[in-house]
Amino acid sequence: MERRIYFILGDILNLLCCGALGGYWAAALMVPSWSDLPSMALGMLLGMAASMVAGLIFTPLFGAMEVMLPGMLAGMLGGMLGAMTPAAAGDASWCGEAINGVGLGGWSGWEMGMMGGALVMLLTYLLQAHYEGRKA
Amino acid sequence: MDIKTQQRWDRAAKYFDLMGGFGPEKRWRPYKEALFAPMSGRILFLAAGTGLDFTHFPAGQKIVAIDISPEMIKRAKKRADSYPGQIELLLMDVHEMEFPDGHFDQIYTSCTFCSVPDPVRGLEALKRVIKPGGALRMFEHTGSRIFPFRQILNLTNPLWSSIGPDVNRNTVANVQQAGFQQVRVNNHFLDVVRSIEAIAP
Repeated sequence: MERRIYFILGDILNLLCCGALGGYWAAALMVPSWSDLPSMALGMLLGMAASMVAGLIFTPLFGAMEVMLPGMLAGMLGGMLGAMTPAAAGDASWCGEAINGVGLGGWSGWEMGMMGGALVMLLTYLLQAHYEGRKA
Repeated sequence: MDIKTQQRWDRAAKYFDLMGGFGPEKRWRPYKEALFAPMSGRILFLAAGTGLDFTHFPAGQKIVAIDISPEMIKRAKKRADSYPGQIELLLMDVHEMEFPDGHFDQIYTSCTFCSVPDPVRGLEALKRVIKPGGALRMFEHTGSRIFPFRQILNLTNPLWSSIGPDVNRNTVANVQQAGFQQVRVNNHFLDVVRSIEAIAP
């Protein structure tokens, strides 16, 4: 498991940004009248695109696969969660209240996405603790 | 010479250090230094790239480093010159290496077999130029067995392979398929970034 503080902080920054950006884009672009499933699928794609943008910035600073792979998962999860906020907001205006925080449980799209990023951080580090140094 | 691959890496050479020179190299430094530490005898290193790996080599070795891209070789020259030992840089395709059979004691690779067009044939070519009992030591990123990372790598591979490496290869299986023996794997990041060690038959 990564123990160097520079890279731990880099991972946190990368995954929170990927999640938040994915969530924000998804919340901003979803139409509230859409049903959950297509919204979430499109949100995941938007989140993946967001993570690639973030990856261009963070890869040169913090690592290649270590940035890209969890970043994509964080973006996809963030996008999926962010896409749920307009749908949950019901008649909230398209890129209005859903972004600003009347979405799912009162959370905004980017906040939902950021939580997704934090979840991916936890998952990645737990998996890494399991796999690191394992001989095959 | 595979011209298509050569052109792809000539293009990549321009931004290679920018994308990989600081963060990725700094992150992988401990693993690469441990992998390269046993260097001795006649050593082949592929692919040299811009020479970022040369700083991880133990001092005082005589190393032949090959790459398919003239642009990469051009950029690697400065780093080869500053290495405290001897690095001979050669423009060569791994599929068409001109070395005699059993010429090298050890072969090292670093993020190479994600990009070699025909990895099993490339590894078989390595088997030809390494002495029986010689060590193949690789630092590679591979596909993943873990859900959902496996699916993400498979889904995005067409995009990555259009600009650079494949991200979902089973390099460990390729090493075994090429006929190397006693294959050992050490996972560094999930089961994606790995050191692979094997012995030539």
